[in-house]
Amino acid sequence: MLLHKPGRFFATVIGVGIAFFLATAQFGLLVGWINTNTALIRHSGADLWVMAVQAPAFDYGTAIPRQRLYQARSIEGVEWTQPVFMAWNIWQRGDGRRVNIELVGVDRMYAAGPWMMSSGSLESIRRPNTVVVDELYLKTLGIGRLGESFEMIGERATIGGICRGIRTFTASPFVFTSVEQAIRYDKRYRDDEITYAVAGCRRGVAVEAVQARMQRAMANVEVLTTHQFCVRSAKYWMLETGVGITVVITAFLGLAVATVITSQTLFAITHDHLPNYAALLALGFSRNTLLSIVLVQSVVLGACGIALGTLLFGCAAWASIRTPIPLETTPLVFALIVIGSFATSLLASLMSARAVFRVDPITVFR
Amino acid sequence: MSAILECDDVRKAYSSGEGRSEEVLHGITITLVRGECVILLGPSGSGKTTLLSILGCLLTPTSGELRIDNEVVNFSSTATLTERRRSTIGFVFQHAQLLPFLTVEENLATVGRNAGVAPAELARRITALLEILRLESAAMKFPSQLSGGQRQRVALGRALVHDPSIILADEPTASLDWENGTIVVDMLTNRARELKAALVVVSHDTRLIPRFNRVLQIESGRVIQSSCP
Repeated sequence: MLLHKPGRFFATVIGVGIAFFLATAQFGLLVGWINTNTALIRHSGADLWVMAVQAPAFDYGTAIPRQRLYQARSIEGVEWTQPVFMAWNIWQRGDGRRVNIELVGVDRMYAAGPWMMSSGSLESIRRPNTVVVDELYLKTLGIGRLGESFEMIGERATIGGICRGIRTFTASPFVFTSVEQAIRYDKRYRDDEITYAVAGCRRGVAVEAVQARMQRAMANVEVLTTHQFCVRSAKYWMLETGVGITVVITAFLGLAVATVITSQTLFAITHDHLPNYAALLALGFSRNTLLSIVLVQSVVLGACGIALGTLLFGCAAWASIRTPIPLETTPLVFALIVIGSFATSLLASLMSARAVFRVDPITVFR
Repeated sequence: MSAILECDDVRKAYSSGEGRSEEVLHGITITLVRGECVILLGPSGSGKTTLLSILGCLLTPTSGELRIDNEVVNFSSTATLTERRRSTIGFVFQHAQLLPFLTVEENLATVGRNAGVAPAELARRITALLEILRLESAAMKFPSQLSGGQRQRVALGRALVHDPSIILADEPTASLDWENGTIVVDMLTNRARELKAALVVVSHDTRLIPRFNRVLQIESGRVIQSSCP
């Protein structure tokens, strides 16, 4: 019945496919952004983060005494600790243009630093006035090659390495250096201050128990697990700034569009075939059988649309790999969108089902 | 011959608004035996189609009783009515009402499958019917590729594929020329006699009378004449 009018069928599948793509792309943006703004935390290799109370996200940490690092190291169950510096700074390009950056200082274990290098070396940041930047932002920062020098508030910054896969959510690229060098770049921090103290727990030790001990031992700071800090950062950017809500609304609009397209087409197809449905009823087909025809049509349209939308999303996600705006998903998110899309397809069949339930078989004699 | 279809004092009234109702069938009583072919004649608005709809379990009578194979039809049960239509009755409509997106063979098979005919038996019946109806070459064609006469023959095959014991046809020749019309009616009557099924054909065409066992003349909701030609 669906393929009886192929033009209408394919137009509907394309419509549903695009609507599904719109929904997956929006959720893909959301997942990509969450991954982006928690990437440094997730890749840190740390179990616990010590930070100023109520630090809303990694990008907005404030100074805590370096002493906290040593206190954390003394807690039972802690294997190692590292300082992390994070502050906003200004990068001056060769052409004089200024670019806001997020300056991250890391220590010898490079916790919260780059995890994949494209060229140069991460160890170069141990050298004075040397930084590492991501390949995605070379143009933004006006960088042409390794070894080139720039300026950060009167201090020289030489490119010692180029890393890969570290996007920024704030449009201000990350620039990595050592903690000591970062403090030299940022005049607001004192030598005995850091932004975070990160800790790794000994194997087999319950992280939550260490977290509780550490929190009891240290006043005026907050101790979060890596997962808790990820959730807090994601919540801040996605909910408190309103960005996530906008994306989610657009995603639901996509699903709503899919529902309307499927609903209208199914209804048109059903309406066109009402005399056939009446004939089938007269010939002894039950209304449940006819309802199942409508539902199957709905599922087929939904499945074809989802397949097309998935293909489009796959292409878009692949194309976004080397861009500042990633389209990513997780099996759970994707499964939920597929379930949601099938649910909306079935919802779309309600109007058609009503029409089928109202058809009178006696109309075959008129 | 035993009675297959009995209609006892069947009345049908339709609401005409403001709480009033208008009776269009006034106590119809008829009995059809197996293998009997009846032509139902009457002017427009005489109640032929209403009677056919009640006989076909599509319309509930206001009062009276319908018995199929000595069993009273329970009009309050939709499932029972559906089952009756599915297994016992074959319909031929004025306009063939074939499913346009299915081939001739699929149109027949759909109804056969719904009636529970086993696949092998269904295939055999379809082959035989297509031969009888002279539609072998059209088996894989869609209704839109057929002539009016061919379409009506397919509709005939669809009505017969599940070997019904009652065949009801509403003006099956109305959209056909005389030659195609007689072909269709002859096929219907011959097949009904072979199956020992009761056949009721509603028609305006009195030239068809000699092909039937009995003529029922209906006027203003009453059977005014029942005769053998």
